[in-house]
Amino acid sequence: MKNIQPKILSYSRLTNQQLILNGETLLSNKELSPNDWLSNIYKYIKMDYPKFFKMDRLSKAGILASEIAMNHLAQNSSEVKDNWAICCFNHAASLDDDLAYQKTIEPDNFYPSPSVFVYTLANIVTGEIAIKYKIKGETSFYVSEQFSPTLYIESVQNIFNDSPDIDYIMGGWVEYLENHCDVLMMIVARECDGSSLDLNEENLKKLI
Amino acid sequence: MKVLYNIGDCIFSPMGSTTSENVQALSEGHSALAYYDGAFNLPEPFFASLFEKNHIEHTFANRAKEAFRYTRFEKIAILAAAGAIQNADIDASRKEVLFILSTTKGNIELLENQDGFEKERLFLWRSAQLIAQYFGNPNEPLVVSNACISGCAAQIAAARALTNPQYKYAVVIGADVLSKFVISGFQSFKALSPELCHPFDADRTGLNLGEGAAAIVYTHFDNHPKVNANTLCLLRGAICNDANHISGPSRTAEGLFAAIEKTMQNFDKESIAFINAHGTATRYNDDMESIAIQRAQLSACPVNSLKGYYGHALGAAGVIEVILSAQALLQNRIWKTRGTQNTGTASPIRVPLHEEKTLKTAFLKIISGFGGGNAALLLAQKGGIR
Amino acid sequence: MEELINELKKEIIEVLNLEGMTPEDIDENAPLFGEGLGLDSIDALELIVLMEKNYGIKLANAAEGREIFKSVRVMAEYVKEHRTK
Repeated sequence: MKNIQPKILSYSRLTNQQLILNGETLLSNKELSPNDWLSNIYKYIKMDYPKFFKMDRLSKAGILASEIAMNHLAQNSSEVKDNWAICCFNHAASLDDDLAYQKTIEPDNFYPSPSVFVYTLANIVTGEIAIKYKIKGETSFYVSEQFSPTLYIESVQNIFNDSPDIDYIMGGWVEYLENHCDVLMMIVARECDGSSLDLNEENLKKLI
Repeated sequence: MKVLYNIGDCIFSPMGSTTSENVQALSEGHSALAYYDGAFNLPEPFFASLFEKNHIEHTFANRAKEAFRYTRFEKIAILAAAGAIQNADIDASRKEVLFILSTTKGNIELLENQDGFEKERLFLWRSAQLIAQYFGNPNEPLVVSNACISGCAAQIAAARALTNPQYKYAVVIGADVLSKFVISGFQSFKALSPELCHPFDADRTGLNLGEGAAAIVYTHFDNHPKVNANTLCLLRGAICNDANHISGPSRTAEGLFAAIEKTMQNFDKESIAFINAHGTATRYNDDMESIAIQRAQLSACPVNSLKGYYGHALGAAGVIEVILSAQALLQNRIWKTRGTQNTGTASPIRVPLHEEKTLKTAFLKIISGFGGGNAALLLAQKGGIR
Repeated sequence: MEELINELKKEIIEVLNLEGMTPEDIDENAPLFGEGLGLDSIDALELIVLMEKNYGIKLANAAEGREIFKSVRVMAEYVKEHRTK
């Protein structure tokens, strides 16, 4: 097996307080509600994607973070990317949206909502990212108590080793639960020249 | 991908509590699907495969001595894993064993009634930790949650995890229980059939859900004492996204076709005994699978679905179906597709309506799900690999 | 009738999260699906819920919905005829 040293081409961090691209703070939030904060970022990055407003908050956070990391690469986002994969981890799976769906099936107000139910799967956020950027490689979603740099690096290396046709992996940590938002979205390349960050434990610890 | 060897498995489902009980029930043509009216306090009736009331509790109480309280979901996962571990004859408390859990919703039923369990039990990683700890295992388990393809994705994850020299064995568990939450959601999608499902039938009317658990112990050591010519090997697997819609399958079967192509690369199509499909009996899923099979030039291959016996068991489906297909291969059989009378899909495929015989030694497992994910696995008997 | 049409437009914008749209932006005679609003199958299912929740009208399946959701005006006519609340 080849020993691969993947590189981080760009990364974004999104919490309820801050939006960061490659270490540089783009926006800070002091008083906006979590929902308004996400909408505010959508406007700030001049995104034009009406489907955004139909998404649950986990997918919204994931899409915004991906868009910011992707924009930085000046990639043609509408081009089919069959050499890209997606690999995400989080803590609460889709529990934020599960709680919202549960409210639609209370005994005295039983109107199950299909548009809320469809987001009650952790991996839907990876599906939304795949659709937005036409990523046709593997999409994987794992759940862990906390972000493990070791496990993430292993997962990325395993995808590269298993799939010679994959050159880029979008992903990281995508967490949203009850007003707690914590996203680290990275675009990692199998190989690249130049000064990009190495995907290693030391760097990942700094980023999260 | 590393070749993995199945050295022990177990299905704990409404059809039976061990792999052989499940195979027996299947051979006799039983189905666990039944009509429920008023179950889970749902206003509309439905067909599903559910465990009988208290069956899980009784079975668990008989086998486990522990005072610790486990949920229904955790119990079936433990029961399946215990069976597989016993068959494989491994010591699951060792550091060389990794637990991998495939589930879509875990303990989601606690949202409605917490039943004295702590809130933490809503987290999938917490259930996985408790399941691994039941066996005294010290490692942090891996949780795969990729909607309906989770069970197959978890087996691919096992092949990858075993490249880590720390591990010798992976215990892959797929489990999901049904609840008001899950059934009402599928009802709101108008995806449930008002009758028993008919996979690949021209008049199919939607899917039935099911609950259950299954586990496989995989190792990558071909010299393991449990490995022989009959051992089932996981040769390859791939996952590809449609990048089309979060709940609707691709009209051109883009992702599934790509996953099959990657998995079958350079493998002789002639040696495939059958394709065990997802075959949920929804209009779009079954059409999509037929298109993928045709595009991959596998239309001559028999295609079956086990949903008429088990319903769609969500995170357990991929594990249950791989075990049962392996058993079929071992006995030179091809399971029929129960519930189907007149095949009718977008592309013509050959769906066995009666059990058939085969002497071939490999099969292809395909599965697709919400989020646009598709997976394919190629499995073969060790003695048949050229 | 016009009042009901306006009410439906507001409800559609809300349940389908059509951000930035106002009732005036929706032509009550134009097809709801296909061109125009960019609605998909999940939106159709959500409209079925809207019909039941707000007007007490139960639709068995999406196919039935397709006829009724032709346009907001067709929807309003159906609601007027069949509403139970």
